[in-house]
Amino acid sequence: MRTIGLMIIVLGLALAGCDTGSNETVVVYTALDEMYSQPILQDFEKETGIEVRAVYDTEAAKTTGLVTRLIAEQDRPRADVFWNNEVAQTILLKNKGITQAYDSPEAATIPDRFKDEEQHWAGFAARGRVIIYNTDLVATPPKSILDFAKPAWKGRGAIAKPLFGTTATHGAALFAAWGEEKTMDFFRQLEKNDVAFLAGNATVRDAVARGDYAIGLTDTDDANGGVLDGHPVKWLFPDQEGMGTLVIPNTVALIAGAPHEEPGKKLIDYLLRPETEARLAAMRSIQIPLKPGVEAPGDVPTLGAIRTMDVTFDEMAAQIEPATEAFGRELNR
Amino acid sequence: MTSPIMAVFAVVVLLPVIAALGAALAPDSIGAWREILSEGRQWALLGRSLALAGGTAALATLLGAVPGVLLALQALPGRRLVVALLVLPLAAPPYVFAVAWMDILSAIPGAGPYGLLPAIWVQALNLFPLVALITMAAGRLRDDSLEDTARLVHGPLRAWLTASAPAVLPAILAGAATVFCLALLSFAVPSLMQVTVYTVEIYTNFSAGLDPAGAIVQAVPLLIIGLAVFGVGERITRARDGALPEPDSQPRPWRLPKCWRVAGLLYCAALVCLALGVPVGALILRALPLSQLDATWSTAKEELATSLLLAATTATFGTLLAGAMALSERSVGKRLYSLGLAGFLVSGPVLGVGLIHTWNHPGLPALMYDNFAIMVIACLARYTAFAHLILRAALRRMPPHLEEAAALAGAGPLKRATGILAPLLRADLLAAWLLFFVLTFNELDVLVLVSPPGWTPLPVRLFTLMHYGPSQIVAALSLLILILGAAATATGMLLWRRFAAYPSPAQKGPNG
Repeated sequence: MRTIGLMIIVLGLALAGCDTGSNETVVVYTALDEMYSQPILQDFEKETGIEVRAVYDTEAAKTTGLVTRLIAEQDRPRADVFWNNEVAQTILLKNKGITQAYDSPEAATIPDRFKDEEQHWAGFAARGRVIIYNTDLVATPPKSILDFAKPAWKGRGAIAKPLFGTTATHGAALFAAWGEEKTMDFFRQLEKNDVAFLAGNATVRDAVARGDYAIGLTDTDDANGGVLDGHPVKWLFPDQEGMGTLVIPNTVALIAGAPHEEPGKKLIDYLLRPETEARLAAMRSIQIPLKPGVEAPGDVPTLGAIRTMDVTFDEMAAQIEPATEAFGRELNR
Repeated sequence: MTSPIMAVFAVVVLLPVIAALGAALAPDSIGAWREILSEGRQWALLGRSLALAGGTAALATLLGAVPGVLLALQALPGRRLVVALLVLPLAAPPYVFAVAWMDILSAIPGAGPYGLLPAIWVQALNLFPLVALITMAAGRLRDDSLEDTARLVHGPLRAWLTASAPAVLPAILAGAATVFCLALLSFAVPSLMQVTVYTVEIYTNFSAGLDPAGAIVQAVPLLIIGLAVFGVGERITRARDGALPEPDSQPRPWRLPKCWRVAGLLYCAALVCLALGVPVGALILRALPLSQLDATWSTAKEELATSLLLAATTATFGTLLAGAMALSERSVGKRLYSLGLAGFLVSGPVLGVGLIHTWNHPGLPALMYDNFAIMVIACLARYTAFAHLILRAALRRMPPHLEEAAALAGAGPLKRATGILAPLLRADLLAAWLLFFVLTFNELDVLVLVSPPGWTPLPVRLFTLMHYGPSQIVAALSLLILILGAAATATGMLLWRRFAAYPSPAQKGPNG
C-alpha cells in the first residue's frame, strides 16, 4: 500500500515536469474572443520570437474565470498581461493592486479619456452598445434605450443581465450618469414592460435573429456577427440625439509582479500599435479604432461620427459594485 | 501503511475544498450568511435549484428504470448493443445537447428554448443512462434460487417483486440520487437555458460582485444537500448489501413473451432516438456541409489532444488512487474517504479557487500549479469519490478467504492487490477508469479557472465557440466529440466483454 502511494507521488512529480516553455515567454489572459485575439497573438509570436501562452475567456465564465484567477493568483501571479475586452474590471483590478504602471510609447497617441492617467491601463479598438432589431418584425426601430420601456415594445425586447461583461459596464455607466434611483427605476420599468434579461449579448443577438424578440441591446461585434451570418437583423447606435452611446474599449494592463515583465511590455506595445487596431477593425467584430488615422474598412464606424456618453471610465468603475449589487438584488431572480 | 494513501487523498482532494470553504467561515462572510438565511430570494433560489434537480431525477428515473430493469433481467436480445447505445448520451457534455435542443425547441410553435421545463428535459435525456446502468449493475444480485422458491407460490412477476426487486429497487434509487446531485451541480445547461439556480448564482457572484467569500457561502447549501442525498443513497445500498448475499452463480436471463421483448426493444430504441438521434440530427443539419469536420479538426486538434491526455492520465491515476483508498479503508475501517464527495459537491469555481489557494505557492506546489499536473489534480479532486464508491462496492463483494489464504502463504498487500484482487475486479476497475475518463473529458467548470496557459481542454474551447451561437463549427465540433465518445464507448464495451466474466471463486476452485 505504501508502494502504491509512493508510486502515485513520484508519477505526479513526473507529470509536473510537463513544461514546454522556451527561453522568452509571455503569459496573457485575454477576455477578447479567441477568434479575434488568437491571430494577433500568433503574429506577435512570429514577429518577435517570444512564445505566447494564452488563456482565453469562455462564454461560461464571461471574464469570471480570468478576473477571479488574477485576484486569486495575486500573491504569485502567473499572468504577465491582461487583455480585457472592456474597461471596468480592468480598473477594479488596478484598484486591488493587481496591475502595475507601464507607460507604453504606443499609448502616446491614444486619446486621454481612453487611457489611465497613472498608466496602469490603455484602451484600444472599442465596441459600442447598440440596438439590434429583426427586420422581419420591425419597420421603424427604436432610437433610444429608453424606448425599451415603452408600451409599443412590451414583451418584444431583450437585453443581457446587467451583472457582468459590457452590460454590467453599461449599467454602471447609467448609475454614473443618472444616479442609482433613476437607473433602478428605469430597469424596473423594463421589467414591467416584460423585457427579457438573457444570459449574454450573444444570446440576445441569437434571440433577435431567431425572431424570439424584435429588439435587443448588445455590442457592435455581436450585432455585426448577426448581419454577416445572414440573419434578418440590423443595428444602430442609440441615443445619438440624446445622452449618447456608450463606447467601451479593449484595455491592456501589465500585471504587478509579472513573471516575464519585459516580454509583457513588448506585447503591450504590440497590441497598442495602430496596425493592431486596423486588424481588429477589419475582422467581423468591426472594433472601432481610437487612434487617429488608423485605416479601417468603410463599414467600420469612426469614433468621431458617434455621439458618446459623457461619463468617465473611472466614474463608471466606481459604480460597478453598487450597480451589480443593486441589479443582483432586484433582477437576478 | 495507509498513511501515504491518506496523505495523497488529503492533499489532492480535501485540502482545496477546505481552502475554499475557509472563506465561508471568515468574519467578512457573515453578511453573506445573513443574506442566505433571511432573504426571500435565496429561498426561491433554493426552491428552483431543488425543482431542477428533482425534476431531472424524476424524469431520468421514469425514462431509465424500464431499460435498467429489463437489462438487469437480461431479458432483451442484443443486450450489449442496447447498453452501448444507452451509454452514448453520456459521452458528450450536456451543453452540446442543450445547444441542439434550444435550436429544436425554438422551431416548435408554443415551445421555447428557455426555462425550467426545457432544462429538465435536456438534463434528463442526458443523464437517464446513469439510472439504467446502475440498475443494470444490480442485476448481478439476483438470486435464481430465491426466485425459483418464490415461484412455487407466486406467478413470475410477483416472484420477481418478492425475491429480486429488493436488489434492483435500491439501485434505481441510487441512480436517481446520482442524477439529482449531478443536476443540482450543473451550471452549463441552466445557464444556457436561463434558469437561475445556485450554480448560476455562484458564477454571477464571482463575476459581478467580485465577492469570492459571498460566492463560496452560496456553495454551502449545495454541499449540505448533496452530502445528505449521497448519505441516504449509501444507507439504502448498505441495507441492500446486508440483506442480500452475493449469489454463487450468474443469474439466468429472464424469458419474456416475445411481444414484451419487442416492446422493450422498441422502448429502448425510441429512447435512444429521442436522447441521441434527434439532437444529433439537429447538429448535423447545422453542421452541413460535413466537409466542415475537416476544418473543425484543424481548429481543435490541440485541445482535443489535451483533453484526451488529461482524461487518460486522470483516469489512470484516479483509478489507482481510488483502488488504494478502497483497499486501505478496509483495514482502517473509516468513512473518511466519503468526504471526498465534497470535491464534487462544491461547485466548480469554488473548487477552482481552493485549488489556486492550495497550489499557487513557490516551490514544489508551483511545480504542479504551473503545468498540466494541476488539471489532473483538479479532476482528481472532483471525481475520485465516484471511482472510490465503485471500487469499494466491488471489494465488499469479494469473499475474504482468497486474500486470507494468500496472506497465509506470505503474499504482501501489493501482491494480493495485483495478483488476486485486480484480476478478479478488472471489470470494476475498467468501469471506474471509464467513468473517470468520461467525466474528465467533459469537465468545464473547474478547468476554466485552473488550466495553465497553453493547455486548453476541448470543453473550454467548445464553450468559447458557443459564444457565437449554434454555429457550424460548434455543431461540427459537437459531432466530433460524439463520434469520439462513441468510439471510446465501443472500445470500453469490447474490453468489458473480455473482462466481465463473472468472478466465481467457488466455481473456479483452489487451482483457479
